[in-house]
Amino acid sequence: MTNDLLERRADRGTPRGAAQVWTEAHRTASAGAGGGADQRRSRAPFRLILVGLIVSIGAVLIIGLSGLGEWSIQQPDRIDQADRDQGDDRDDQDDGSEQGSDPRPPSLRIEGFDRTEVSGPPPLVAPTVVDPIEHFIYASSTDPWSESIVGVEQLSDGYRVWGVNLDLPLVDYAELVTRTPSGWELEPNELQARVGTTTDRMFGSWQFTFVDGDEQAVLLATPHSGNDPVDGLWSHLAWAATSEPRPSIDVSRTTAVGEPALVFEFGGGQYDELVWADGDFTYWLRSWEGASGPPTEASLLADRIYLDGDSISVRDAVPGVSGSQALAFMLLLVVVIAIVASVGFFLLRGPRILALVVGWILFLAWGADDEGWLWLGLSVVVLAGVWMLRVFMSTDSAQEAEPLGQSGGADPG
Amino acid sequence: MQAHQPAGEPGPSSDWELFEAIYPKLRRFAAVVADLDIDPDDLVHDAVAAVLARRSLGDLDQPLGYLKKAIVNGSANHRRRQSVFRKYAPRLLTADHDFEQYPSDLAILDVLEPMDRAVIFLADVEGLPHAVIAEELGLSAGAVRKRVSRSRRKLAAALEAHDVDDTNETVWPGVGMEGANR
Repeated sequence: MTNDLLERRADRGTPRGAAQVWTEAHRTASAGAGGGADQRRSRAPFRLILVGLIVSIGAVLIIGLSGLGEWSIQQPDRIDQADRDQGDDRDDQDDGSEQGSDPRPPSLRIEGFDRTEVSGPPPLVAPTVVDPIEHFIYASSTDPWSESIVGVEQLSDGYRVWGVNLDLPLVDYAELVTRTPSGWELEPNELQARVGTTTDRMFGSWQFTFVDGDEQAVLLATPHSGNDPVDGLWSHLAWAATSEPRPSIDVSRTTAVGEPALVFEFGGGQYDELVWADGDFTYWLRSWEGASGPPTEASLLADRIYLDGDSISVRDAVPGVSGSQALAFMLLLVVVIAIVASVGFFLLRGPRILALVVGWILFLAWGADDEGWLWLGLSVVVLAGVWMLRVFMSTDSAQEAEPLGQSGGADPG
Repeated sequence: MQAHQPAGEPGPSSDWELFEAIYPKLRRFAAVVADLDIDPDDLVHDAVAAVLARRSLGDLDQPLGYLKKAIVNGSANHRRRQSVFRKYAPRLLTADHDFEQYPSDLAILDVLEPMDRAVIFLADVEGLPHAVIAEELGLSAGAVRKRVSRSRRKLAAALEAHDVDDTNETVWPGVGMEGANR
């Protein structure tokens, strides 16, 4: 009965005939639209290229997106409109009314220095960041800059004390430091109160050089976090006090460009600095010794600095959603949608393990931190590998069989 | 069998002669291996077209065995695709199908996988030794033995169940009540 069933099944339907099948098969093969294994095999390299392309784009996106966490800072290149000229001989080059997108030197000049040799900002784009270390600042609460200023650097294994305008040996202040739940703090005393907390985190600076014969004055504009100019000054003070050994530091107040400014005098015959801040930047001006004699002290330059405009400003100086970020977000959305679609596809059509891998990628992409991005990248690589393997395997198991051996009972005809 | 190459078709005449000679066997084999919703000639066509796209039939060491294996794989691929649709989108599966109608008992063979149908057909109808079947289908002789034994048992059970029900009106997927062409 079984054989009868098989015989009847073998003879089912109406054969089209050898000639018709042969003709159609020839036509299909010639047209290259057979949909058979050959076509699939020939497409396999293109699939691999496509997979590689997708993985590359994903990697670029991942790398690009991971770099968007920091500030998007561009160089100071624009002078606001208002003219606050205190000098009398300005040339057209200083016209602050121009507001172009191309970087150009600020309309800042120093009397007596050759303005034509003001160098433009160097293309320092990426913020240079050192590991930020927190500093507790103690000073007079009524007039912080006129009395001793003590900073307590919060180290992972202890603390370090630095001081400015010290009226006692530094070791005396160090003895007053005690451990508290919030960190190493200076014991309360009549002269100092905690006036601020800052870090010595310094971003990259833009440098402008002024030349007067052999003498140079260098102005550096350093963006500071937040919009508090005082915080910028504290940060610069902490950085100046701890970045290199200095015999002493004395700070005195002055004004520069209409802003409250400080003069940092470093002991030991080192240079001095003129420091002031506005909402975006902390500026520090140094003068360097020329061949003809000692440099003009920075403090003496304070009243010779003129700024054509209210302030030097920056574009995108604070974190925000820029056009590139919006584009990156859209691309990320596309990637997430593609991943979700892939999960669905593999759940329905492919090995379930692929769905697990893709799901894992989605999970990582959702809340990726620095380490998460690494795992995400690895997962993408694994997925690509599995995918390529699947492409090869599906090609091998496709419609056309692999060539068989020589012998056998197959007897054509 | 008289060689008759279709006019205007490419390829050496020996290929055509070879195909014409093996077509009846291939067609019968495909009719067994393919599910009832597939036209056996479609499977033969796909297998031959895939070969011709890259080489001639004469290049194959064993054209009949090669094409049989291709037909089995094609049928298995089709069944795999259909099972997905059957599970997740049954409407898509039956919407546009207008396949031939066969007696319900022919569908009993669908309890077997395409490879099992191929093995039992070659063994019980064509009478090929297990070693030959193994070589043609890329299996081991032991695997052929097991498949033949298992397939016979499954088929016997299915036939028994069919006889118990014995309703010629039993509706199997893709199967109608018209007679088969024999």
